[in-house]
Amino acid sequence: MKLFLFSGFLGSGKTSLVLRVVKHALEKNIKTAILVNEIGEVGIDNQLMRQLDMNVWELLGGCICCTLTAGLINTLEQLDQEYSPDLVIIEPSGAANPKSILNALPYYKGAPFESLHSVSVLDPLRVEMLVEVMEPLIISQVKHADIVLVSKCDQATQAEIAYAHQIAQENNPNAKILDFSKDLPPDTLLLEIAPWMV
Amino acid sequence: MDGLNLEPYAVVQSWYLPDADGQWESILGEYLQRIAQDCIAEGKCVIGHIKAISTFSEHHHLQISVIAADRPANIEGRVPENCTRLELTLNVLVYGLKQTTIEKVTHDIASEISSQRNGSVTHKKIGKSERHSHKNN
Repeated sequence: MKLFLFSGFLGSGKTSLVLRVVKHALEKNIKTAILVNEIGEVGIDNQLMRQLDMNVWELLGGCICCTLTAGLINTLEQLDQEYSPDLVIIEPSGAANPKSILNALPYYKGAPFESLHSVSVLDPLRVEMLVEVMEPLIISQVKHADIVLVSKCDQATQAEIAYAHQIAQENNPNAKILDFSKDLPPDTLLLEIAPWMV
Repeated sequence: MDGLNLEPYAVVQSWYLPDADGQWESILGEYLQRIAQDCIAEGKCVIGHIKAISTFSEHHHLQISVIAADRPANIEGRVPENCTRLELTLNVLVYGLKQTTIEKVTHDIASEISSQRNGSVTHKKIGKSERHSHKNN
């Protein structure tokens, strides 16, 4: 199975992106599972995904990068054994540090991953403020990505988008940086992050 | 502001508004935005994400999301016509405020809105108190 990890701060647009990728995957008959972790005891995103007939596995009651790391590995192994998906998308809470998740993946004992991509979603509307008040988390989310996706480009100013690019380039010069907005044709995004799906 | 704790607050609310037909989206959008504004007024904090969902028949839902006190709510979906009651699942993720403070803000504004419209709202808190911090990333 192929694995995608979508990280990014709370409200950055991760769920919108995941919905778009999964919708396309379902249209292409790609067997897909979404593993969602939301901080708090109740999930909003999983309810929405279920409403849209998506196959959602949830990790609730803690953070996937702290208390639920073992739960993540167990769930991935269970998914492999019981569902054998072609594609697994992990959407951690926006409060999660992807470094801890990536560090935990070697403990997974199921069928080997065909590929693993880490996508970090950066909200240009708030990145300047967030870097100021919670720099370690935001920078870690950028550093541990092979693709940095600058979201909400239809709402942000050129200066805000340029600053988001600057943060990405300074902290992860090897990452591919992409601009994303809701009006972007699905194929354009998928060609960049998952060309095998197009 | 390094080291702000996150104490998530989750609640399921039962809303009854006899005259909200056609206005549920804007009423609840303003409700979530007021929560963000009143949280900021409580003191040093960062709005993480305030989001809510109400599901109806298959594939019909209302989803509301607020990420800042000075930005309007993002609203997707619609409430069915002639609806006077709905159940709203609400997650309030604000760094720097205690869960009890967030709970009070959330309840107070809901009470104000519902009483102004001759309606009511009841709250069922979900889960236990929980703190979340990533000080050492």
